[in-house]
Amino acid sequence: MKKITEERFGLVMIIAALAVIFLIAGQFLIHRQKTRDAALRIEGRNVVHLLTNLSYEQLVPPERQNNILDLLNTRQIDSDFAYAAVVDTSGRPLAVSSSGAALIPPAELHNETTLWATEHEFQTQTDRRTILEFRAPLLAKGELAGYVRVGYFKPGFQFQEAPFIAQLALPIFLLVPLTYLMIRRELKPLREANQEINQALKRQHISTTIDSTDNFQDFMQNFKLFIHEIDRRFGELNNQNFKTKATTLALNYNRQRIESALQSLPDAVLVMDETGKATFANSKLKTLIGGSVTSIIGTKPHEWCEDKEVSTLLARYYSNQSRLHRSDSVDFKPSLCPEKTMTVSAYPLFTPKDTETIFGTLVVFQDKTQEILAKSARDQFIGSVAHELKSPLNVIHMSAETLLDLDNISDDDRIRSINIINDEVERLSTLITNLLNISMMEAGNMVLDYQRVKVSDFLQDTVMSVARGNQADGVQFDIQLSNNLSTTDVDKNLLRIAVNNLLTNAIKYNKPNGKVTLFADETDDQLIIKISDTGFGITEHDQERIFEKFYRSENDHIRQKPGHGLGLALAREIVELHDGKLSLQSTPGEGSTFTITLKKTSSLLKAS
Amino acid sequence: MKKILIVDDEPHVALILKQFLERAGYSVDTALNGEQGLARIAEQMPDALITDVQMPKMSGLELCEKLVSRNPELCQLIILMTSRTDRDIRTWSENHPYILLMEKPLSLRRLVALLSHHFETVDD
Repeated sequence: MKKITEERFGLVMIIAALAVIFLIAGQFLIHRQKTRDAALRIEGRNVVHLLTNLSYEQLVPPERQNNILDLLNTRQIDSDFAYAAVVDTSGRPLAVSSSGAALIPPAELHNETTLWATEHEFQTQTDRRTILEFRAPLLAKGELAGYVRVGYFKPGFQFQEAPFIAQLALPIFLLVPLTYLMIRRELKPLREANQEINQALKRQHISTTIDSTDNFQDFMQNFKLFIHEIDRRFGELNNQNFKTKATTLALNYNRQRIESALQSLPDAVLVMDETGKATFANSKLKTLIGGSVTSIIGTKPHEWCEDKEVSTLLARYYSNQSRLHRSDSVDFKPSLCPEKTMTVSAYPLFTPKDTETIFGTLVVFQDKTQEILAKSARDQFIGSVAHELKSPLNVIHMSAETLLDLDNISDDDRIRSINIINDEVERLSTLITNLLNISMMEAGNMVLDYQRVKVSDFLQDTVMSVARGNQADGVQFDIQLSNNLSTTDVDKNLLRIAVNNLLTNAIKYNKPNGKVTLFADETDDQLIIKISDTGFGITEHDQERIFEKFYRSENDHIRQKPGHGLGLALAREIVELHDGKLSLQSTPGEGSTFTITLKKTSSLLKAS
Repeated sequence: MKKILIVDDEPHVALILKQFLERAGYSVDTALNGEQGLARIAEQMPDALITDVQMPKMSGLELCEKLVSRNPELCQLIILMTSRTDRDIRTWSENHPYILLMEKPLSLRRLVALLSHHFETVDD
């Protein structure tokens, strides 16, 4: 369908208006014609009727008298009157009066005889005008004397009507531009809306089949398209919205899970964005910054970190000049807890697609205090072991050298040297045995070999063997074993080492002529063994550390006695392996009491 | 007779050294730790000092530092017996040129040779 543009619309309106004008004018003229025609016919019939009622003599007067027909003719000025005639029955005119222009048609055309009024139409031969003739018979003395014929020109278009038609046409014609302008005015917002819709459609890459912008139909079509498209988009958006919501929920869930994992890490974790601002920090960081973790979110390290080593390291991951693309770490002592040693490690976070672009930094703070303490303890342990091993070797070496000096050495000196070597070898041997036992127990692979032992026998035997091996300086043994001592399940060999070590210490660190008391008693669920001495006693300071490996008191009396500080550590380890407890009460200058408490039930349960 | 002070917390070591050096013709006194050593020196200035490093109360190093600050001219020769050859003691001894390091296990013959050489040089 050909589209009608706005300009064409104006033309169409003009044409339509003209058509309307012509139609109306035509209708008007036709109506006028019919009216006049009808009026003419009435007039004609009346005139004929009137004339036939006149007497023959009046109609056909003698010569030179005024003919009534002429009277009729003169009256009919500006009318359509053509002629009036009276003819005889043969058609010969008896009296004629014409408007001049018309010729009276030949009578033979109407020569048939009629006794009633008739109407005829014919055309003049000269100018082909249509004549309407009315005819009626004329009676004279009751006899047909002739006919009265009155002719009228059939009325045609009259130019007098033109101004009236023009008056009619003008307002109609003037209505056209008015209407056009009004329509245009009314259509203006529509056109603008159409343009906007078109632009919107183009922006949304919606192809339209319509390229016109100023047509109401186009507008409606575009509007429909637009509404349809909007509806579709709404549907899509709704779907997307649902999907986004679901994805957001899933993402949130995943994020929470990751955050929870990061929160539960034993180390303090911080995530910075590429500008150095903190985006995440787990709660472990609290101890380092001394405040709420959330307060540092969105801030840079120098704003919250008081440790210069840390802020300097982290600055290298967001300063533009020398941005680090590898991980780095530094040790520091936090200003808020200087007793700790921490390691801060920074790892650049690369975008998954591009390993050149850093989009953040992962910062992990690890507490290395325990590790460093453990390392230092290990170093100390190795140092102590080396020292304890080397010292007897040194003595053996020197004694051997003394023995080599055959010429100068007396028998007494030789015996003394040999005894010293013997002592030191024993010392080495004990040390190595103790070390092995301790390391086995500490490694956790010591399996207790539970055996049922009679407690009193076990303790008696142990005391006897200790007494034999130590020629103590007149130390007295006081053995107080309760009568109700029964049997219990213990690792006999290990527990013997523990009791042996305690008894040996009681002898070694006793005063000359002192006393060692071994006491044992049993309750319903406990076995209690106490070993007391009357020695130097242990200071409070020493009591705190006396069970540590390689710890030896700085007391001169104690230092003079051989030892390497493993006996008590081993004894406690053994007792604790039996699920028991080794405790100490001591008064310096008076003596010490070591108490072994073993649970009977648990031992029985273990045995079963 | 040259007087020598031995400071060692190991009774056996002190005993053997004392026995050997006495046979070599020296007068020997012993102390169990740095504190005791200082007390002995205050009583009588030895011609040479032989001391262990690791000792309770006052270590051999502390004893040496104290001697250096108190009366540097009095002590001619200090022999430090060490079972540790770590860098700390070596760098420390570099600042004290009259201190000789002898590693354990100690050779008694070398010790006696060192002492006699020292005293000969001093006497000359």
